[in-house]
Amino acid sequence: MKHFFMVAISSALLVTVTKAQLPDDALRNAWFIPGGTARNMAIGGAMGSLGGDITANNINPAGIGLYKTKEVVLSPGFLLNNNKFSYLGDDNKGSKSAIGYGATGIIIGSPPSRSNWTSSAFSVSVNQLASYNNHTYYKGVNNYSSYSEQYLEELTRDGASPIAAEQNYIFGSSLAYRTYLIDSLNAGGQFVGYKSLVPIGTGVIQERDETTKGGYNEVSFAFAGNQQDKLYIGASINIPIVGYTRDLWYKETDVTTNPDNNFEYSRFNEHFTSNGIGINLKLGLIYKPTTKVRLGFALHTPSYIGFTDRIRADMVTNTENYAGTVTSSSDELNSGKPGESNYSLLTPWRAIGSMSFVLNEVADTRKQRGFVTADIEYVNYRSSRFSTSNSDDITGKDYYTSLNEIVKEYYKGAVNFRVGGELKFDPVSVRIGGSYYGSPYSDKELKASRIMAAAGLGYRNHGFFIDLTYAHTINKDVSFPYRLNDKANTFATWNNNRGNVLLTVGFKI
Amino acid sequence: MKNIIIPCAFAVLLLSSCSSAYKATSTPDDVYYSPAPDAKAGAEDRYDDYTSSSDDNYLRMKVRNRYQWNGIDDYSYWNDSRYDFGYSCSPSRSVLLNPYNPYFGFAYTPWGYWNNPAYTLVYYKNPQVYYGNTGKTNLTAYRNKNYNTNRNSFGSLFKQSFGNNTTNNYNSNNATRTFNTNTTPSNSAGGRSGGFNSSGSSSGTSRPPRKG
Repeated sequence: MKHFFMVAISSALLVTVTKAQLPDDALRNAWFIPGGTARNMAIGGAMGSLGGDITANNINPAGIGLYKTKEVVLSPGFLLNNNKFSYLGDDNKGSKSAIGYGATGIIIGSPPSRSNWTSSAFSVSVNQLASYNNHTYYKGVNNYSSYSEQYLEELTRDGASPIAAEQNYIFGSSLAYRTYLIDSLNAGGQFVGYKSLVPIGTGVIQERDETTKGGYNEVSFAFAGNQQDKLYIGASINIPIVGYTRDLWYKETDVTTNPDNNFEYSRFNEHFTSNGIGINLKLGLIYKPTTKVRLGFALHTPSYIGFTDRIRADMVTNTENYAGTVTSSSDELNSGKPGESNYSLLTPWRAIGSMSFVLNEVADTRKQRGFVTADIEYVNYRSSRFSTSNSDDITGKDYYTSLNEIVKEYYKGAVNFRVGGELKFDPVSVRIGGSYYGSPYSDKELKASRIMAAAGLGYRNHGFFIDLTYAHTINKDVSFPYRLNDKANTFATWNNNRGNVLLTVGFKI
Repeated sequence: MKNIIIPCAFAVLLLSSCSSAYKATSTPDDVYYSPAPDAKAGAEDRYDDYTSSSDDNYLRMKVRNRYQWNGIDDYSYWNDSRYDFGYSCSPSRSVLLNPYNPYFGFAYTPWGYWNNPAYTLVYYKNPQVYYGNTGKTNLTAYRNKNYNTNRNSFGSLFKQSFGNNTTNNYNSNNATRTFNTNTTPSNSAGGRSGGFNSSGSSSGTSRPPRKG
């Protein structure tokens, strides 16, 4: 009876979809460069063993244990993206500015007590670990492949009939089929597959334009204890809050002026949002074998984040004499509603080892001279895992099992380095630092890295402090406009230069 | 930009007006050395709020004003058995006063198991039905490490030339893909490749006819 009921509902709803989570979604929630306060950014984010800064909540919470005072911190920021793409020999440039912020919150250090703990500290902060605000565009002439071929592949490999092609892939292949970007292929009176209307042999201009917004923010509740000013142990419970919006259009235009070759252009538009909230735990310790040396170790558990993604898509194709200009949208095929997906993501775990040398660890600020500090971090990008939020969702489980297998193959573990230092001429400090984040891709042909160089100034006096930092990040990555199974894939190389100005103002209370 | 600057400036002004024991001195730098609060001269009263003992607080309060807060300090009021219906009626006032009663074990809460916000997992989701099957070509394409760029290695170029599936026909002007010989086209193909659920119906519409 239950089975009959389910079949009846299936027949009535004809639930349709083809667009889903991809390995790129895992990377978006894991590949971060240093952020935090202006001071932390100026020293390359090498905060693992240093402590004494609210950014420790997000790196090594034991660092909060150095506080015996109370402090409030605000970190507004500004960033400017300069993007350079190279796609099929064409170079494209663009820029996009945005407002951001770093670590903002409060630290409450306790006084010495008679317990085993010399002192303890508690902190609450909010920090933006990644800003997604950007605009990218690239184009090139391609006479080898077309984005229409991804739809051909999907329909033929799925064994889709024309009815299935028309109805069951409403965020991709159905739009292509309905607008005659692709059509059924007959041979000898038999339906044998699908064909593209794109004249690949003579070439098409391919353009991809993407505007992204949002950020990966983390609210942290950190607690740390201090034993004899030698050993600091801390933990933070963190709540990642992720908001991501992507407006994408992709277009292919006939390079010829031939009005009779059955193709002028096709444009695909997509509006995608992804919102999530989750939890993770960060554990750490800092040990001072001597007054000048600090050793740190921190372990970040994976974040467990529940996501809700929504998508709308439409397509317009002009096939000239074949079918003219035809439009189709997912809204008209889905009662005006977006496609919605609820799933969970387990982000990669990471481990951080660190060391620093602090010159003149004394109470008199006029005698404090500076420090050098370094972190080495391992992030296992291939450990990201997707799962369906609905335990009864058999097809969802099957999809996410396959997706997780691809994540394991496509990504790898990477080692990141951070190093920085400060020279102090009380009340002024001068800082410099840098970091290198390795490629998360297992395929060496996909060149990717993130290099940050930063410098900053600080002033501390009369119960407050102010730090200003400029960080310049060079992000190298690749962008695939579409992916094919049975032909060589074409990708753009992406050089993103991001300038980030961050100001941190803090007050002792 | 203006929207951010104004609140930040306001917050800075507000915080800078807060009293701080360090206004007349240099700002401690906790990276190097964090001064313990009682180490500063004349700071005895600043740390009254650190007093953690509730007994101390209670005694201080009573010394200041013996009668203030008597209403909530009335043992007979809070333990009046006429209004205490025991743990079976929640929330009992006695439970509110002592939710972690040892007689009821660690997990007991005054809200009861089903109503406790810490335990409730209410899943309001309509039944979902998924339809169709898919080859997940959007995922399997990630396994294709054959790249069409000028920067390709000799190995990739070799694979491009000789490593492709014979079912495609990309040398002609229009690309095509044909079914495998043992494939029977199905109306239930596709439908869901793991992601987005469609709640509407598309069965009533069809694509427009071709010209001519």
